[in-house]
Amino acid sequence: MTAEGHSKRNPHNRPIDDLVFECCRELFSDYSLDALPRGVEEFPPPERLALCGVMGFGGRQMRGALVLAATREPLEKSNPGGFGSQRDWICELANQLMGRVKNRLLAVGVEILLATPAGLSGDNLNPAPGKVRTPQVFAVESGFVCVWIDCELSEGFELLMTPSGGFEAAMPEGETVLF
Amino acid sequence: MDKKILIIDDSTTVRHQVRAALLGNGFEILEAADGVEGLSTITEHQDLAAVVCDVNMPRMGGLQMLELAKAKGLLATLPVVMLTTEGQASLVQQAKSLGAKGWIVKPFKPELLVLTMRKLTAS
Repeated sequence: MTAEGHSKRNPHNRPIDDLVFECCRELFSDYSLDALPRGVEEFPPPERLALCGVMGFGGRQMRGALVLAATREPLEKSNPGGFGSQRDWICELANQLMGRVKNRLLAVGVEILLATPAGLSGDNLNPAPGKVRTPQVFAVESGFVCVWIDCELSEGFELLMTPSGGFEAAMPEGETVLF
Repeated sequence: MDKKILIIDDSTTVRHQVRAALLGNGFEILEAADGVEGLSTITEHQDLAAVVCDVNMPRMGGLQMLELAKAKGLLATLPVVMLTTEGQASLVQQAKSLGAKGWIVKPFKPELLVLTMRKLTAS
């Protein structure tokens, strides 16, 4: 994490926001792209956000949805073959991001089930002020990626991202095992 | 003669990425968009060399498809590799017990996928 990264992070974020932040950077890094944190004031004009990928999830301790929105540039650069449609690709990226979040949550004893991703396009794609936390904004190539998670915790449950052992380990991303 | 591989994934992009990785490396590709289509294709194409299959898909997921394919005796000589964002150990174990031969957590590296498929179809 760079000093710039720290300074751009929302100081009021919950542990789940921080987890999504880290996972988003890792995801784009796996596609050889730097996701550089930006302040929320740099949230791109809604008309620049091409599409959203939405991933629903639910479990005993938490439920909600993750939204990944992007301008066209990061979608094109992360899929250099230009395979499929941008709508399909942002759905897949949201799926891979939420899969990564799920795998990290398993290490702290939180199990969630993932829905299949849905694509969403619109003229004004913004999180509702006051309803969800501030989106995480990243500069990726010459465009932007924004991610936010709208999440409800079960009563009395507090998410602590401190691995304490004894919980189910997950295979890391990119790994292959043969049986 | 190219070996026939079936890729089952609800993402067109992923199917095309897998196709691009394997084509030209001794493989011919068939595609299916979910477990229902996948099971039907496996049943129809007895000459498949291997299957690459996602886990979370609409209509029928990869593990359910695996269970049905196993019950029909379709997996006796057909290696299946799961390609998914899931890394949960219990799901990996479930796939193994249903007869899967491997598990890859997305995103995949094309060269590793080629090596994996070569190894599984070597006979």
